[in-house]
Amino acid sequence: MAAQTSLKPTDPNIRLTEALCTSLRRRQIVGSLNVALATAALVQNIVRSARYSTIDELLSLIKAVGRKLIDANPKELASTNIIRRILRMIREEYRAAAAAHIVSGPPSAPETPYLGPTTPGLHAPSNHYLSQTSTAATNINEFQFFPSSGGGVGGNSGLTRQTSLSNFVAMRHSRAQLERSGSLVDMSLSASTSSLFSPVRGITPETPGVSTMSLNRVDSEEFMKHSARLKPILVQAIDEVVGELETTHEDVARGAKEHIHSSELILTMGHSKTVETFLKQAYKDRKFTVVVAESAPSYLGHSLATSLSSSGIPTLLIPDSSIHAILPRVTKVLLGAHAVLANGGLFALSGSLACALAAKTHSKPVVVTTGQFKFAPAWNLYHEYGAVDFQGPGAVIGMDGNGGGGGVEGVEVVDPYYDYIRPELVQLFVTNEGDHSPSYIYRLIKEAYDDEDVEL
Amino acid sequence: MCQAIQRYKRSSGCKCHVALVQNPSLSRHVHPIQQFNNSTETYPASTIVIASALHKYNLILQSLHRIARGTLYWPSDTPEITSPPAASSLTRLSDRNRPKVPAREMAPPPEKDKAGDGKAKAKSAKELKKEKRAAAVAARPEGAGGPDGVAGGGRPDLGPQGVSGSGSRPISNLNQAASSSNIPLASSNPNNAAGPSTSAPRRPPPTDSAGHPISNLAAQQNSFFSHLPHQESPDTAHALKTNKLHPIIVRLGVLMSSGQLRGANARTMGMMIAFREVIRDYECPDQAVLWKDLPIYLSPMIAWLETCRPKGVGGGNAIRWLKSEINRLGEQGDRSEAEQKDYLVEAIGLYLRDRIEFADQVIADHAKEKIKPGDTVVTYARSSVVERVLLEAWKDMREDDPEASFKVIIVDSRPLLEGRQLLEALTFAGLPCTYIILPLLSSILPQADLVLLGASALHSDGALYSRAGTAMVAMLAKEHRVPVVACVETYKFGEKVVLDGVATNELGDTKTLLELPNGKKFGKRGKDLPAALTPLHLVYDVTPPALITAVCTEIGFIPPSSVPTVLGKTSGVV
Repeated sequence: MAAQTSLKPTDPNIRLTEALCTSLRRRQIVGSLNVALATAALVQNIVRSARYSTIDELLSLIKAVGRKLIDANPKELASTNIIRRILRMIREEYRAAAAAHIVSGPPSAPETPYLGPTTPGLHAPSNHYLSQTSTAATNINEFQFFPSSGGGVGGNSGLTRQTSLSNFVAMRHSRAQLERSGSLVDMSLSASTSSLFSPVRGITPETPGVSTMSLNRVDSEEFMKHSARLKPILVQAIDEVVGELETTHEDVARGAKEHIHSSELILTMGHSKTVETFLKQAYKDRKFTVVVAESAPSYLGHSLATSLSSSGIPTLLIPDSSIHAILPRVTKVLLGAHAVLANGGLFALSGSLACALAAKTHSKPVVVTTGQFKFAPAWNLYHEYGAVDFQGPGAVIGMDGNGGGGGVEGVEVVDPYYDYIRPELVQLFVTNEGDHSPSYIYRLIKEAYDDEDVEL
Repeated sequence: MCQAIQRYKRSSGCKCHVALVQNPSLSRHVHPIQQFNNSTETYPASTIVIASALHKYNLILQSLHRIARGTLYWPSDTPEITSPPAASSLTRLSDRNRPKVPAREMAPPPEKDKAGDGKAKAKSAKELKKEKRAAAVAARPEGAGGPDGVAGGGRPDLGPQGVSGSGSRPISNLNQAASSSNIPLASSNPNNAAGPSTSAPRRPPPTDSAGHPISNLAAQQNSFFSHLPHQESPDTAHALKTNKLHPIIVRLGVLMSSGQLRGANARTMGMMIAFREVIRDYECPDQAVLWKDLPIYLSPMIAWLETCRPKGVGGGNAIRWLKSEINRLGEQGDRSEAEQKDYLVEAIGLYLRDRIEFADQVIADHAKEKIKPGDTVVTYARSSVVERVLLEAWKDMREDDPEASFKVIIVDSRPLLEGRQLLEALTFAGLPCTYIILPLLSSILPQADLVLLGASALHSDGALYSRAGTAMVAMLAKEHRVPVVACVETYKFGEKVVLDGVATNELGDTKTLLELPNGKKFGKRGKDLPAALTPLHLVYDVTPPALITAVCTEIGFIPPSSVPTVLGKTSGVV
């Protein structure tokens, strides 16, 4: 049923997608944030200019782009994260609009979509939810607007889903969102909201009632007449995501001074912009010293050390080999992340594992500063050490020896990008939305993305 | 993964291979000990490439003899001093110093030098200082500035071979680099002539524009590590002027401090061989007793070496042994001076042979048993023992079965990059090698079967004091459940306990730290380092005993906890 829509061959977005894929493949875009921003820009372009007639078509368009990006660089998890995030936003906008649409009657509520994503609750008559509750009680699947989006997952009766943990989390989250959006939902309405907002897994139950199907179809068809009006709202929603991304560093750094006390010696490595902002923010209130490991072979530590010391923070630049020797004096290890996984482990610049382990042997806390856009709904339980991503060896051995290769012949040189750090090695994730322990990451991920988007 | 692991072929590999065969004494193929040798002189290929134990030993002997005989020189005699004004004026300074009678030269206060300068009115003291500074900065880019800095002065009365031939050897054969440029030679003189007390101002301030503005002083100024000794280029001129140091000791100190002589074994051997020369040249005053006078004679030399570079546990043990040997002469009594000297000379030779050479051999015999065909062995940086273990294991395995093979992963780290030399030595012998730098190690460790580590010392709590980064390797190996074997000779066992790498350590050179590979300089070119930035290079770290599976010594494999036992057993000797 789900039209595996792809962009029309003539669509300019194809070129844009290909361009992004190419630069991902060639690693011309460096840094998770830049990848996320580029992806968001691409998706926004698609939403704005691609041709689609139903919301499902749009969703599958975006998903197709997401799959392409995964193929281009499976390790740049940020790109797919941001796609999942946008998918969720689109769904939310759509649900909000649809809710308003149902309440106000099919043809007569064209203004609702204009009111933006957060308003339906305010403008919906209060008995709207009550009426929905009764409907939901009779047929739990009735108001699920995505008849085509489910895969083979789930597919149980609505009641079992309601009691499952994932559903509970989602329910809680949706309620929180609803409350945040200003609608004062009565506690008794939780059933209806859950049925309305729960991530829809098994849309096509074993026995899909004909009436349900037809109702859904009619609903979406009628609603799609207004989809053109929905477009600016969706674009606006993506803008929100982009805005969230752009302020990530500042948001992460907001609570910096709570984590750093005076005259600490903080070890970091590489050049994470989040860490940099965090330290600079903290230095406004606290006096401390930063130790930067130079992080061969990228030597990003050099640029971080320059940047920090230029803004007056006392900085020690050390070679990577000195990390263990200096750690007894270090009070805290601060790391950036490339991607955070659902189990609380993370991928980070090569050498971070050594840092984290050294911190563990000296019982120093390891704090990871990261934006939540790096949280990926992926687990890395079984392939911890196989998940290695290699780059060219030139940086390690140098191309400029006698005829290259550092002057040696027949040598194998490996140069992986990232280390995988076990969740047990990390004490705290400082994110743009609060501080969390590694064991809580999976819930944040659950709340951030729709279950059906986990597999793009 | 396979496709990503890059096999590395060098385009002009063949040519270089030939070159290596033709000139096997290329310094990077030879252990640092042998870097004593003049690299421009070639030895027959058979003697060098992988020198057998005795060969190596003899070569060291030769080399140090050569050092004793031929390498003393007056740098100011070198005719082709390229002259920035600073260098020339300072050369004049040392010219002026040279002809003076040694008696008058005994430890002249540096202020006197300056005053003399003022008299000359050639340059104001301030200007002169500035020039010195510039010259010192100019000297710094040349890594081998140290050995060239064995500057004028010296004890003409010390050692018959000392100065006599030196005038005819303007550039010592140790000056490997000097052939390419004379600048370090010229400019390191002022560095040395600057006198002892000027060491602080001699260091350029961090705002120097020459691109290498950060001295170790900056690191020292940092309160966190101000207690650690750091390497400064030793003040050879003053050392020689004191007339209490044998020239070979001065040279040795420079070699140590410049990092040309690196590694506990190499340094200990170099030191003991140098002391042997000193003892040979020593003449006991008429009214003194040799066993009483000799330690007094040696002590300023020992102290001077300590200022060049802390001698470490192994060196300390060797010195202590030497002193006890000298003391034993007193117990034996009734022997002629020549006999006593011969006895000491021979004893030093035996010590080196038994405690280092044969110990290494036995360790290699033990440790190579642990390397099985198909294994992957990880090693860090460069240890002479580990290098030997690997080469002998390879030789043995190949003799048993020409198809058998094991793989070596060489872990290296900036700023010293010692692993590069090991890489070349091993690839030259045909071992399949993987080269990786320390931060990347964790990704490749799952393939490893054994980690072999060298050490500078093994403390009595079983903690391994070794090149910075060793602890990281051991830690990662533990994380990946790879056994860690440390190869340590028992003469490196120390009775002290060191809790961490902060209390006891050395500050290394930070110049290389700020130079990125591929010639990239730190930060923006021509811009000063921010004042708040301090480069810091710790030379050693301490690997806790929990991370070490076994210690391979010449008395066999022991757990790290058995170090005190061994120390107790051998305390008479160690």
